Amino acid sequence: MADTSTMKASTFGRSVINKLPEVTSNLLSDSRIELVVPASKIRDVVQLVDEELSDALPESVFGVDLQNDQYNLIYIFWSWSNRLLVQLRVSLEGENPEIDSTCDIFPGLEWHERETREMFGIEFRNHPDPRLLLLPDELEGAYPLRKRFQSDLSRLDETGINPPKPRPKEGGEQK
Amino acid sequence: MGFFSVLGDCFQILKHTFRQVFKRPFTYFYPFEDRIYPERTRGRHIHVRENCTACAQCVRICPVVAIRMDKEDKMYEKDCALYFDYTRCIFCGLCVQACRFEALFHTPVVDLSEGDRDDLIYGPDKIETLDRDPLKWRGRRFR
Amino acid sequence: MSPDILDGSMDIWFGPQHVSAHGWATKLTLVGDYIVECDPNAGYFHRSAEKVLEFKNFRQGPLVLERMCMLEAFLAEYPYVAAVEKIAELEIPERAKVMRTIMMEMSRIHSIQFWWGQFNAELGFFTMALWPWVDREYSLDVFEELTGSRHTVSFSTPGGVKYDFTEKVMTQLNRAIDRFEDRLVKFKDMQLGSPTFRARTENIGLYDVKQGLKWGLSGPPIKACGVPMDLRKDDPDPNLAYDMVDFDVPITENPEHPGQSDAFDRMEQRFAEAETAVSIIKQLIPQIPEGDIVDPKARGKANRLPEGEAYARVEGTRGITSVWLKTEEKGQTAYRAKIRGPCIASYYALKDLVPGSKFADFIVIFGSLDPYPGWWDR
Repeated sequence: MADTSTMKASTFGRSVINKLPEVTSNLLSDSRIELVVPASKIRDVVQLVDEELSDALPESVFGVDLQNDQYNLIYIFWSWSNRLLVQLRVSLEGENPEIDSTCDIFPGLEWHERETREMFGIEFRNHPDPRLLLLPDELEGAYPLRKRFQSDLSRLDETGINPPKPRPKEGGEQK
Repeated sequence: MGFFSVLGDCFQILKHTFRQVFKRPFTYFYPFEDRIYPERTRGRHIHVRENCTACAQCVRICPVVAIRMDKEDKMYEKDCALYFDYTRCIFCGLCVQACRFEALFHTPVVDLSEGDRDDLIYGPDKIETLDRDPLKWRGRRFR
Repeated sequence: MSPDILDGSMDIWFGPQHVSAHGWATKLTLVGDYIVECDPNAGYFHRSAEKVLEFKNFRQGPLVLERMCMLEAFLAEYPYVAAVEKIAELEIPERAKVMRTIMMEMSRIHSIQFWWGQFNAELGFFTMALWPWVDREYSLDVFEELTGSRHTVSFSTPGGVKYDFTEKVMTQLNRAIDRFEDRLVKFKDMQLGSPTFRARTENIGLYDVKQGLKWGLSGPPIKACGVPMDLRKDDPDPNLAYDMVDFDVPITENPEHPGQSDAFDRMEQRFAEAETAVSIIKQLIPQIPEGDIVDPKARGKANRLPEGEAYARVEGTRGITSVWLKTEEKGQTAYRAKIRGPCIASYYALKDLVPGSKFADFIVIFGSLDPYPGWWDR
């Protein structure tokens, strides 16, 4: 692969922003770029990734629960011939936020979107097959990876050690 | 395909057969004879009560809450009793690495099966010693 | 296809109990002997590892990950450790870097040895199933001598590795590598020269690079198309010693269908992968420097991490293996950890890849993509 054909992360970011001025970019390193994309433009950006990077590999889509009904949705693409990692970040809000599905552009994203839907409750519009992927049927609508989903994590009482004392608040009087 | 080449093949086969006859077998007469385990084998633990300071580092690091400690049970000045639950233990070795007082070690003993689930919770009497009941078979005593 | 053809169709659940199904259930719709529809169903191995990681601290986290794929246990736990190191900005001693690389290639070899056995057993070639498993015992002996455990090695920790190479380990390692190198030629002859095997795998499960990349395939299934996509060269992890060795990315090119790969190419690719792994280990063994194996300050630094996000990935046996980690300020546990296993793509690629082929070929296509349920179900 000739060096002239490789694309730098900054070049790619600029070419996307030129076409879609709503997108902002954030250079993580020489070969990694993060694009902050508004939810309404996600199809256009993924389409652009497909056009600009002919060998884009859809690595994953996943959600991050930022609590108080704030979610981040992160798409990761890797182009080996350009040595370029593109990370798209979409901020979503609401009880069950909605976003357009992109799995007709990259068929490999279909499963990730299904997983994100069942784990975080993010609805993907026009998804061809919105069934549960990993979870059993009784956990439909429980959204286990949200922070408010409580699991019985602490078995500290079984260990016999003293529970940690709560830290005194700063400025408060200590007893 | 002369007579001698066939004879030669026969001798080749016989050579391999005889070599196998006088070799040690590859299998072990388990459980009476044990495989030689490497030094670092992460088997069941042994708790050295003299060195223990009841700092609870092993209890805190355990990812599966397999260790329970009893601070009241003191044999020396500042030690404690440990209860290991081998139904939960994943033999990751973090507790042994967390111990700074050389009080907790892995042993190469890996055959832990018991008839009863409760017997797999090793109390202070079992975790502090490596002695086991002798194993008898056809009048012979092993271990 | 007119709907009346589907009237005589039959649904077959392939799995989850069937051993060759690897614990997945694939619903196949057959017309006669041909598959017309394939509906992959995962989830039978789901252990919610991502949620579990939110409650484990950074020294316990790798233990969860190595249980995702026991065959490449070190490779599986490494991305998490690398992500923690990136956020905590830990310095890794040189010796630990080389040791990690050796172990990584060793787990790759072990995984490939296991896969040969598995794949050939599925196809009915039992000689080739059991012979690599003899060599696998030697690889397992290395792991056992080094870490004390045969499968769940739990070898790396933030800031270095846990166990040092002793003389005995080096003897075992050399023995395993030398033996495997000897036998590799024999295997290659036995497998790739076998007319039965060729007839069973050639032109089965054909796809081209573009299609494979769209599905998200990576690693051997893509390299078998003749594309040198390898993270060891393209995006090497800074804490591994791949820059110290000289190797070419193994690729397989078939002149009969350039840019495409069938089950036979993917088999051949695994041989090339194993050869590369052996040569990397052989080059690294004389280069192991002296020194510490773990950064003494790492233990304290890894207890509480600063706020940050990191994406660490390695070239696994089956493709790109990565962990995306987000931590909070002074966080003792991960805020969010996303595990990206390579078999996500290789399992769901079946949906588009399998229809049109015979039912008997399904297992060839399935096995040649080297799926492992732990990577997908997590």
